[in-house]
Amino acid sequence: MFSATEDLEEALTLVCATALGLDRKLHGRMRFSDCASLLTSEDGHTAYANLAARFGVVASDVPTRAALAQVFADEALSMRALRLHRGRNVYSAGKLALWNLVWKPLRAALSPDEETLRLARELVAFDTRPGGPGIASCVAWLQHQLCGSGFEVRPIEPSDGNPILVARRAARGLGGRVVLYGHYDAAPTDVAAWQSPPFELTERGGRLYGLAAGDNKIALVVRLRELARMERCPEILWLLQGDEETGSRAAHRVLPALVAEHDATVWVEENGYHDDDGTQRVLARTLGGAGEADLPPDQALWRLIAVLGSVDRDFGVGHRVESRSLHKDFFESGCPFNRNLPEAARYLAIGVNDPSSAIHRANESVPTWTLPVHARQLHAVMRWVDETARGA
Amino acid sequence: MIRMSPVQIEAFNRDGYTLVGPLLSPLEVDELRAAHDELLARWASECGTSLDEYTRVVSQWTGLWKQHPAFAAHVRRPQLAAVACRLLGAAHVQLFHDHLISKPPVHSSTIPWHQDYPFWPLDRPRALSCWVALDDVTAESGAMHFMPGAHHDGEAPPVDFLRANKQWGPREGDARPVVVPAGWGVFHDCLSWHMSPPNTTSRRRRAIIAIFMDAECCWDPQHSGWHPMNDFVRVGRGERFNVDEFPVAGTQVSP
Repeated sequence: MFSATEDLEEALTLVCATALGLDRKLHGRMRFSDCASLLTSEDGHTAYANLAARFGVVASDVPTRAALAQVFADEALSMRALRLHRGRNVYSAGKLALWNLVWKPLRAALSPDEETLRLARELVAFDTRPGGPGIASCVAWLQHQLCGSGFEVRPIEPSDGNPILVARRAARGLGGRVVLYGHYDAAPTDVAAWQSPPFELTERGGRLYGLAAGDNKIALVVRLRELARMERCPEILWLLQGDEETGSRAAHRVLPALVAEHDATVWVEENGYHDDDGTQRVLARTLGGAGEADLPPDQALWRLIAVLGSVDRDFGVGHRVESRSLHKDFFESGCPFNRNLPEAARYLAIGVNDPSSAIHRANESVPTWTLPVHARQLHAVMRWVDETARGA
Repeated sequence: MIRMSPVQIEAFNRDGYTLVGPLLSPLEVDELRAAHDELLARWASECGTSLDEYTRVVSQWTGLWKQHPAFAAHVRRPQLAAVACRLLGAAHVQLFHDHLISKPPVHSSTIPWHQDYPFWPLDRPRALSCWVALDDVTAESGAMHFMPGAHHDGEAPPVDFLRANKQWGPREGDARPVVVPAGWGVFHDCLSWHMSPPNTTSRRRRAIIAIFMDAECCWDPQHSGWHPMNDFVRVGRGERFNVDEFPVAGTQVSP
């Protein structure tokens, strides 16, 4: 019952931050009284109502300012009674009222759904460190998920590496083609340095912890989930390798030919970042003639960036653009995806990480609030691909 | 002195709870109600609000035995501790804490299915709640429901009261409401699964609960680091609870 108090404070903080565009570093740290003051002020309640409207909450489910003030006042009285003589609402009923009134109408919009979390739990549970015992079962799991979503999956099994999955899905009523890149292997880690079991997805303080959560299993899962439920979607080619953390030897051999035989409206990197304050760091570029040369986005890509920015605004965060690839030059040969993109390719890196994600370190994590942002942006990308391919 | 029948003991072991009574005379029930009313007036004043407003919102209090002599006498009633010893099979029991829950008319809600033990900083599930009704508790006034035998499933993770919605599947129909006359008590194992619906009557539904633990239990803050009673512990982890704040309440007596 008291763990739920933390949940409530996190939820109220997220609602405040999203509605009022507050710095995300505050997430999980706002006091109950601060949330109460913000959401029951005239401006705060208007911002809350606008947030609800942006996410399609029906007006009758949006509490009035008076109703909000009443439940916050009740809970404040309960907290005072607890402090003075150990009294409270029976089993936190006041907190339940707040949860139902403030958080429930927005929960589906601002937090990942149960299916996404289930997939994430399953994927993180595979030990896919180099030589890990979970690689074969992880590959089988991915094939099962992809096939279940209508992909045809061709595994390439190199003698010197883990399987590379080439997954294709025909268009579902939308024009254009998207190439997605990702990997299912995880970096080595010191298990003893983790605060929670690294192969057990753990939700704590508004973050999801687990080995490879940020690099890049959670982004991969959000994509799996969203692609599975897209009724209309362009043609998809998804390249998933299993040796990124050891130099991608096999992928360096296999990917050039795969890339050469495809044209794509956009090439989407494995993941991307938000800044500490929540601002999305959109990495977008067009490829020049010399391999990884970074040219600014073309006109079409700027239109996509504007669309992504409008999604960010819905979630109360801003965005900024950098014309470069995701930093991951841990090996001299670089990333086999980035290195082989064709000239004039449109490259995009968006995702769920932030500077606290601790990539390749103990207690790797992603902020939970970025998952629904990424999910919505994937849908926006697919609509833009269709418009761009049709020349609209 | 209450004598536990073999049938009651068997029911407790089989189902995880048993109804015992009468434990209090009508006069003793009245004394506790009056003591609670006296405290309510004091508490509302402390919070700077009206009695109506206070009782609309605040409905549960812990540590009453330290706030009013009537409740101090209640948790030391020999018959309660004797039953607790008998049901736990313990030589001695200590009071973990007491609390009073008043499910108010109109303003109450459902308490979802949960076990108590996952929330307690005890090193073993050797404790029970002695839940004594101060008003006649009917199905309409928010009677506790139990899932008989579910305590044999063992300890589950603590229920999140904001999100909980335990599904019992085929066992759903086995859940039983327990109607309790004022002055009677339900003893339930700390691993029993229980819930209660809202009080839909116009009457109060008050119950005074004393939680007794086997005196062999030791403090384990890792089992529940947040519990308010941790503030009153003055022993180290793995040691028996200090008797000033967790008084020895009784000793096994011959059946």
